[in-house]
Amino acid sequence: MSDPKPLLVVDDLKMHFPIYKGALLRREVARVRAVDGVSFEIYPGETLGLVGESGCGKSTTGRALLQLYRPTGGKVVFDGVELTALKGDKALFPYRRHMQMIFQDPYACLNPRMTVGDIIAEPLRTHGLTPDKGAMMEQVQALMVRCGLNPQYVRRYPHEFSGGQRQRIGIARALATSPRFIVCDEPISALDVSIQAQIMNLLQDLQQEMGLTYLFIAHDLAAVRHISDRIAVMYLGKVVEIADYASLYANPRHPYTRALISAVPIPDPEIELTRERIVLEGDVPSPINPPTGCRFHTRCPARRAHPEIADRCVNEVPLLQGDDHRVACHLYDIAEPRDRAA
Amino acid sequence: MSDDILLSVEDLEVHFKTEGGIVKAVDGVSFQLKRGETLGIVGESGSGKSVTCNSIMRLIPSPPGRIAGGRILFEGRDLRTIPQKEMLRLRGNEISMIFQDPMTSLNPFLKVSRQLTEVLELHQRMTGQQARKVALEMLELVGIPDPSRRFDQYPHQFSGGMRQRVMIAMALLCKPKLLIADEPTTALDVTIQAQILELIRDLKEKVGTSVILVTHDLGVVAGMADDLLVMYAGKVAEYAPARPLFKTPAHPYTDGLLKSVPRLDEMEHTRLQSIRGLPPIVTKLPPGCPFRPRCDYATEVCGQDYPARRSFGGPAHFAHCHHPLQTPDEEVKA
Repeated sequence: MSDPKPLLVVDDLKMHFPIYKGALLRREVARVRAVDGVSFEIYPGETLGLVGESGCGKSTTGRALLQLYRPTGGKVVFDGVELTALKGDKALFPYRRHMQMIFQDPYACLNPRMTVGDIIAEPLRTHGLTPDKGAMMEQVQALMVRCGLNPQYVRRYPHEFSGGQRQRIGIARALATSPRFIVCDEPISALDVSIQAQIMNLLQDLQQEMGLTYLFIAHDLAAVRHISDRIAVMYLGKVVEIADYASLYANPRHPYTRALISAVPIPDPEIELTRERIVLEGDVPSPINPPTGCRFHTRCPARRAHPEIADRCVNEVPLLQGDDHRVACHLYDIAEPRDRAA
Repeated sequence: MSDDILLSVEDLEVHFKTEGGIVKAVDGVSFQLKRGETLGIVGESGSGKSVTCNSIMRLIPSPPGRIAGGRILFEGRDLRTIPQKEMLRLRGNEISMIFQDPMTSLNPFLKVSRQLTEVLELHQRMTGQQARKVALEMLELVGIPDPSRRFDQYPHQFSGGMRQRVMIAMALLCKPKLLIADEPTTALDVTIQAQILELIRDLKEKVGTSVILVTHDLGVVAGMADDLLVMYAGKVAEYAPARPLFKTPAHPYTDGLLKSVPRLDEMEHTRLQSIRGLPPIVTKLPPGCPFRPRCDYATEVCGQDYPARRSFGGPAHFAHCHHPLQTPDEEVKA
């Protein structure tokens, strides 16, 4: 993206959740470092993909951006306004309509007691965007049409719709306030394969028409690659690599990104036969007590191959560095990084 | 029947009684599985893929379910008609199953060691000590680190991937001839999925087990399956060896599925070709071909008759479609 002024700037974002023990003498015994120092920026009109395994903090990042959780550290700047400096819900309220969210579970994110019309109209009412009832109904039905729903179903309840249709209702609701930025948190992972493509196409069409900016969170790397302009890879609360989509997949640099990409199966038996797979050992460590230094060092295949950096990986936290293609790995601190990575 | 065929399902029909009438969850499904081979069953939710597997294991809850027709021949014996006692002997011993959700399929009140040894004591009449030894070896084989310490822990102390390994260990304890894996990696992250698939592939070679792998992810079966069965609304849409299925699919549904998934190796950002409409509601299936309302090639005949089976380049590859994307064999000859 050549546009020099980002819509959203995230600087050293931290989201720690305290764990308490004891009923009377409640004291903090530990902290879940769900997001621990994440920085990136999102430019107007682009889609930034955020990938990682479960528990890596990608959803928490999305929610902390929208101030659904108040971050415990760092800054979030939306269109020049530092949201993290605003105190209280009242101060935040005028900005909320510009930042919306689409949720993963289309069954849980809609109130079963509200009609589809009420669900989509709620943000309009909350933000006082259409005072006139007739105009509101028109607007709701227009949103339904835009999202591929039959406007005659405006008085139906969520349970009368299939998963894919419910996701369309969720999208219509997110669009109601004409937002500029939408966090899409795993919007397709609960849907059937043939429906996933429909929803992805809808999201892309809406982006083009309305000039939307997306943060697209998913664990499905193929889907993220398909829809994103740039992609950030997270591991255990940190961004380990960020680059434009083509460069990230053609030339992944961080050992974790490489393993992640090699693990995704490709629907073609001939390619699958010849592909080399980097199978990582073990599970993701706990974010309560993350490994020292580079958080990936306990599972890193590259560290074993490069004993000269092995100590640094344990002791030193690698910084995210580079120009367009940024990576946080000690392999690239040293000369001729490309040869080293091979 | 030739000896190298382990399992042969013929015209299987499974019906469920519901308030909305009788649902034909599986309607005339046939396939064969050779020894040591892997069959992938692909379909969306409600396509009948899990019901097919559960009927092989005789795990259809009855009522409301009922196997209404067909035969399930396992080494030549019909699993539908053998006595219950015989089925109990086979289940977990010669045929095992892995389920999607490893948390709900392990007993949370029992230590992992107990859940594993029970299988061996029951089926192989081992003593407690023998069983412990074999079970521990199996835990090691499926790649659980520090197995002797983990052995006496409870399921909740294991992560999702590790629980799935415990399930696989349990399923393989008696070295079954057939392993049915119903969406074994759907609940897992990609790197863990890669580990589990690698493990199944590896064990298949070591133990010589035949595998039925049920999934909605075409990528998963691409690297695993010898043959593939594509199901839609309880019926077989297409059946073929893996290569022709991915390369020259005959059924528009298979083709649509392949085109609607984004691929990691696509060069440029292109628009996905989605299949229009919604998945079928099995209680309200249209007459004729069930895929007709969503199919770009449908004509009048598709709404009248269910398409007969046609083969493509030999009997191994067939599909049920009036307007297949490949030239059927009967027209090639004509």
